[in-house]
Parts: sequence; structure tokens; C-alpha cells
Amino acid sequence: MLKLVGSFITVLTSTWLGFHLAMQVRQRPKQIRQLLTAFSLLRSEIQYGNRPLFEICKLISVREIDKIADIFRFSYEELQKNEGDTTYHCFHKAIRQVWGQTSLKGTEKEIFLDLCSVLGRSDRLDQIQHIDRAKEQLQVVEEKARLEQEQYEKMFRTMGVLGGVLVVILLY
Amino acid sequence: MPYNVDAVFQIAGIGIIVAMIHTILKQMGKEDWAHWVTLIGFIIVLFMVAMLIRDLFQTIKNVFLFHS
Repeated sequence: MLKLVGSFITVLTSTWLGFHLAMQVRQRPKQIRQLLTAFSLLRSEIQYGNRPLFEICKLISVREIDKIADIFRFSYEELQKNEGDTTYHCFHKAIRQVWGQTSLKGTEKEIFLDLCSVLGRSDRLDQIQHIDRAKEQLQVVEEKARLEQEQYEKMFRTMGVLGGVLVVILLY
Repeated sequence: MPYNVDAVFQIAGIGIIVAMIHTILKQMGKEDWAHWVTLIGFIIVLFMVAMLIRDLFQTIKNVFLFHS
């Protein structure tokens, strides 16, 4: 009886692990797309609006959803605090707080931080050019992430279940 | 011998599961992984069979009183 319960728990755990990994893989392209829309918003705000950066951050955090909104909300709060940190520092802090909860990886982080080091430091045209460059890079990353999703999502799910069953058979 | 049937079913189960994992990994284009999984499954089964054969020899020794 105890053996049965134990094996059931093992299968359940490994299945959950597989589904969790599959979800991470599935979420990544979606969140990159959200980041892309956020960049588009940022770009149009810089091009046509006259608002300061922290207000734009607040606007984006209202328009976007879940984790991406969190990044911009945290950076809005950091920028609001006015503790003498640079813009880059504020964004960096926000990213460090939220990034662990997202499915995004290091490449996107680098692109984002690269853009943040430019924001608010030069004229309008230069910033827009930098945002365009970041968007292009993100699009490439998104394409790659989508290919990865197609390849690995189903595999992780099946492997979770099968791996659990294999462990149970081995130990039974 | 109580373990006899259980062991056969266990080995069969391992074979089926490993075959399924192999197929899935191959489908996803991870042939190198698939081969490693098959190899490891084979080694595990080989180990189990070796244990069973050791038991068999021990039994034969005991039956014919070949005590050292």
C-alpha cells in the first residue's frame, strides 16, 4: 500500500515537473512578444510624446500584462524614488527583481539592459534608433524561441510522465 | 522463488518505457540523447539479469553442496 502511494506521488511529481518545463518553454516567445509591444509603445512615446521616462514606464505598466508590466512598474517606482541612481541602475534593479519570475533568458536581458543604458541619455533620434535595433534583435530571439517551443514543448511533457513511470518501475 | 515473475515484468516494463522514450526523442530530433537513453536502459537491464544469474548459480552451488 505504502509502495503504491509512493509510486503515485513519484509519477505525479515528475509529471508536474515536465508540465512546468513545457510551460516555461511555451511562455518564452509570448513574453518576448510582450516585451516587443512594450518597446513599440516606448518608441512611439519617445517619438511623438513629450513625457518624462518614468511616466512612460507607468503608462507601459498599465497597458501591458503580468510580468512585463511588473518590470516597468518596478522601474517606475525606482525612477520615482530619485535616490541619485542612473536610469540604467533603476532599470537594472527592476529587472533583477522580476526576471527570476519570468520565462525569459539571458539574451533578452542583455538586449534590454543594452537599451536601458541608452535611454534618456541622448537625443530623440538616437534613442529611437537604439530601440529599433533592440526590437530587431528581439525579433530574431523570438523566432528562435518559437522554434524551440515547437521542438521541446511536447517532448518535456511526455518525458515527464515517462520518466516518472520508468523510475517507479525501476524502484518497485 | 518469489521474485521470478516480478523480475520478468519489471524488465518488460523498462523495455517498453525506454522504447517509448527513444521514439519520442528521435521524433524531436534528439537522436544522440535517444541512443544514450537506450544504452543506459540496456545497462540497467543487463545488471538486473546479472544479479538473477548470480542467484541462480548460488542456488545450484547450494543444491550440489559445493561449499567452499
